[in-house]
Order: sequence, then C-alpha cells, then structure tokens
Amino acid sequence: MPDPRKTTAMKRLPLTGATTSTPLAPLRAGMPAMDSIHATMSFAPKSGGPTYRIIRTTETDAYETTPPAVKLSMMLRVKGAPPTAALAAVVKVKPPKGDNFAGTARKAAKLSKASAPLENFKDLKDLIGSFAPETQMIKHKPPITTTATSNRVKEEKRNVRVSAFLYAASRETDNDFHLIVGRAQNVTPEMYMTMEVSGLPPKTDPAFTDLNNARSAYKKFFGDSKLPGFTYDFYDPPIPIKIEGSPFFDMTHATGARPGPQSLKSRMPTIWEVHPLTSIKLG
Amino acid sequence: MPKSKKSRKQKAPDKRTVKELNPLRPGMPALDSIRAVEDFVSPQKVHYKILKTTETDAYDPAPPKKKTRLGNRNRSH
Repeated sequence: MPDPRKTTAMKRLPLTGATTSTPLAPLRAGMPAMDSIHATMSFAPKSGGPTYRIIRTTETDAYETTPPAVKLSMMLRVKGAPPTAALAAVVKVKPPKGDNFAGTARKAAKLSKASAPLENFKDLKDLIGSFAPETQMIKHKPPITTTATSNRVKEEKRNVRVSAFLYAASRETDNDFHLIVGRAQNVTPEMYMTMEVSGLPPKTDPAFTDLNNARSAYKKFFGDSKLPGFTYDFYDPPIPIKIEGSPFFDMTHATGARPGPQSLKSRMPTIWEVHPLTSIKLG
Repeated sequence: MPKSKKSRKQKAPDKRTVKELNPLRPGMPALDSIRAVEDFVSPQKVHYKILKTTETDAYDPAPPKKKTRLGNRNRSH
C-alpha cells in the first residue's frame, strides 16, 4: 500500500494556489490545516545551523476582535479562493509598535515572576499534569478576578523549567507573543500549551530585567522580518525550546473561546500558561 | 391553536459530562467548541456520545442575524 504521508505531501497551497519549493507534510504532528496557509519562507537563524520553514497561516485566536482579524475572518467565509491581493494586504497589517505591555487583565500577575524555587520538567506532559485542575481554579477561594490588580494566587506561585518544541506563535495587541509549545513530534499523545513572551513592565519593575532578557532573546532569534504578526506562524520542523517562567491561570478565557490556533486547539488540554517567560533558549 | 412557547434550546453540556470527556483522544474537537453532549445508543446497542459543536466548514457563510418577532411572523416557509 502506498504511504499516505507520501501521497498527501503537497506543494500547492490550497488557499491561494501558490506553490512551495519543498512539499508540506499535512500528516506531521502539529501542522496547520493546509487551507489556512497563505505563505511559506525559509529561515536559518544561525549560519551553519538548522534551517526551518516558517508557515504563515490565517489562524488567529477565536476571540480576536481586532479589525484585521475580523476582516480576515469575513474574507475567508467564501466559497472558492479569497481575493489574493486583499488577503495579502490584510495579513501584512503592521503589528503594534513597541515592547511595553499594553493589556490590563490580571496585569499584576502577568508581569510578575513568582518568588519560588525552580522546578525542572523533562516532559511537557508532566508540567501540564502538575497544574491545579481548572474547576478548582475557577472556583478559587479567594476568587481570581480579571482586574489589573489581580495578583498571583497560591497555585501560581511557582517557577518552572521545561524543554520542549515551539510549534506556532502569534503577536497579540497587548504586545505579548503567544508561543504554542508542544512535545516532540513523534511522542503521543500530542499535547500543546500556551507560553507567553510578555510585553514589558516599566523599567523600575523588579521583573523588568528577566522579562526584557527573554523578550530580547526571542526577538533576536527570529529577527524583525521573521517575527509573527496577528495570525499564527507555524514552524517546520518544530524549533527546540528551553524555557523558564511562572505558571499563570488564564481566568479571562475560563469561559468561552480559549486561546490557540484552530489546528492545534483540540490538543491544548489546559488554559494554564507559562506567563511570563523569564528565560528562553531557541534552536 | 396557539403555538407552544416552550423553548427548543438545547441544554448546555453538563460540567461533569465535559469533565468526563478525554480532550486528548485523537479526533476530539476543541473543548470550547462543544455546545451540547447527547447520549446515543445505536441499533446494535452500542453507547456513544454525540458531541454537538459550533464548528462549520470555513467557507459556510455566517448565520443570518436573529430576526425580530415581527420578522419571524411574516416570514414565509
């Protein structure tokens, strides 16, 4: 019998009809839906080092209501190909300028590093398993609010370190980068979670140095032209990543749509995040 | 005969039912897309759960906005 991984490999992008130089493998774990891909590009972060492919998609977090996200969503709800020029224009919308955190929800917790010893995890599955159950966090006593002053609760006062793989990333309007981090592609079950390179607090903030170092390392690895925009970029193969940071419960999305690209969300079993990342090593 | 005003809305999935679902089983939908869970027994007496989701084909047009009561009454079928 022919190997379906070979027979389904495709060079033609169904969304636009454009072709890629090397075939995409839709059956590889952690790939986006083929019809969400609008562009691909080669990416070699270090000369002589491994080369990756950046797969630019139309996927966004389902709750996004920014004008470009809404426009894109409407543009895709058509039978047949969306207008190429209009699609190219909307996905090229310039990201917000600056590096400062521009959000408000649970700002105090998001911009703080927990004061706790570092816990080492070899497998993302074990890290996810170490989080308190969502139902317990939703009914937390005292309740976890989403106001700007909502600080870390007991279960979030931890620091963790894990080695895993970066599968996808996007940039949010609050200047956070959403990183979708998963296990190695040949390990089952597939499992992913969100980790965030945070927008920065004021320079006088005690967490500024760690957050700034992590953000600078992330931006340096990709360079300005390869950083993701408001839609998710996927990476092929997934990029090895070592992170440190503090766990954070995303109370804002405890009800309703949850974060993550559509293609991976069914394998994101938690709304716990590592947020902020205080150290990041890519490649 | 006036039409019954009984709501035909489906019940939201019971929290316990959702908790019993295994989100990591291959082929499961995203948890936040599940709007209802129904039990189903096949003619062969096999028990299944039907997970009703909000997922559609991406090219399906957005559903029309809800019409007013007046609009609904005047709509021809």
